[in-house]
Amino acid sequence: MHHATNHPWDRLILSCLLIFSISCSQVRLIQEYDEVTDRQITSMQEKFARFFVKMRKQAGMPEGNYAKYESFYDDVRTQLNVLEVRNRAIPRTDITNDIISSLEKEVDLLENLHRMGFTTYDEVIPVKYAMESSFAAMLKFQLALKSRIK
Amino acid sequence: MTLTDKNRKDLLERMIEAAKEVLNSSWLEVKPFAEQEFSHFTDNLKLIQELTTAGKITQEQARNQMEIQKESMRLVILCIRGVGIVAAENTLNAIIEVIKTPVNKALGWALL
Repeated sequence: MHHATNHPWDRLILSCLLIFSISCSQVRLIQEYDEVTDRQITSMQEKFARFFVKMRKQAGMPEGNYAKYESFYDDVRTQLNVLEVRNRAIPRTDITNDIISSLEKEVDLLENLHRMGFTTYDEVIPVKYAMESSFAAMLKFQLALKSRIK
Repeated sequence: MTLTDKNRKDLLERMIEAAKEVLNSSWLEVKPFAEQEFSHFTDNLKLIQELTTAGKITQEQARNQMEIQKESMRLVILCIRGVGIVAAENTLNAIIEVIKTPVNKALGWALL
C-alpha cells in the first residue's frame, strides 16, 4: 500500500469517502431528477389554477356545483396515479412517493368540501392558498433536483 | 380560542424552531422558503377561523379545511426535507471535488 495512506489524515478521508463512494465520484442520497414527473406536476398545477379561477366566478352558482366537476377530479386522480406508479419504479423516490400520497389526500379533502358545496368564494380561498403552497414546494424540490451538482 | 397576531407569531416561531432542529445543517438553504410557507399556513388558519366565527362554514367544513392545511404543511415539510438532502449531497460532492486531486495524487491511482 502507498505510504501516504498510513497518515491519519489520509486514513480518515479515505474511510469517509469509501463509505459514500466506492467506484463513483458522485454521491447520490436521493433520486435523480425526472423530467416527466416535473412536467406532470406543472400540468396539475395549471389544472388547479384553472379550477380556482373558475371557482372565483362559479362558487355559489349552479355551474360551480360538484356534479359539474366530477370529471375534473377523475382527471386529476388519474394523473396522480400515473405519477405514483412511475415514481414507484424509480430508485430512491421515498420522499416523492410521500409527496404524491399527501397531494392525493388534499384532492380527497377538496372533493369532500366541494361535495358539501361552496356558497361563496371566501370558502375556497384557504384551500387555494394551501394548494398553491403545496405546488410551490413541489416545484422547489424539482428545481433542487434539477440544479444539483453534476 | 381566538388566533391573535401574537398567537400566530408564537406558532410561526415554534414551527421554525422545530424545522431547524430536524433540518440541522441544511436549514440555511431552505430557511427563506420554509419561513414563507409557514407564514402562509398561519394566515390560512386565521382565514378558516374567521369563516367559522362568521358562520360562513359549518364545523364539518372547518374540519375538512383544517385537514387540507395540515396535509399541505406535511407536503411542504417533505419537500423542504428533499431540498435539504439535495443541499447536503451538493456539499458532499463539492468537498469530494475539492479533495479529488490531492487524494488521487497521494494514492498514486484514481480512487475518486
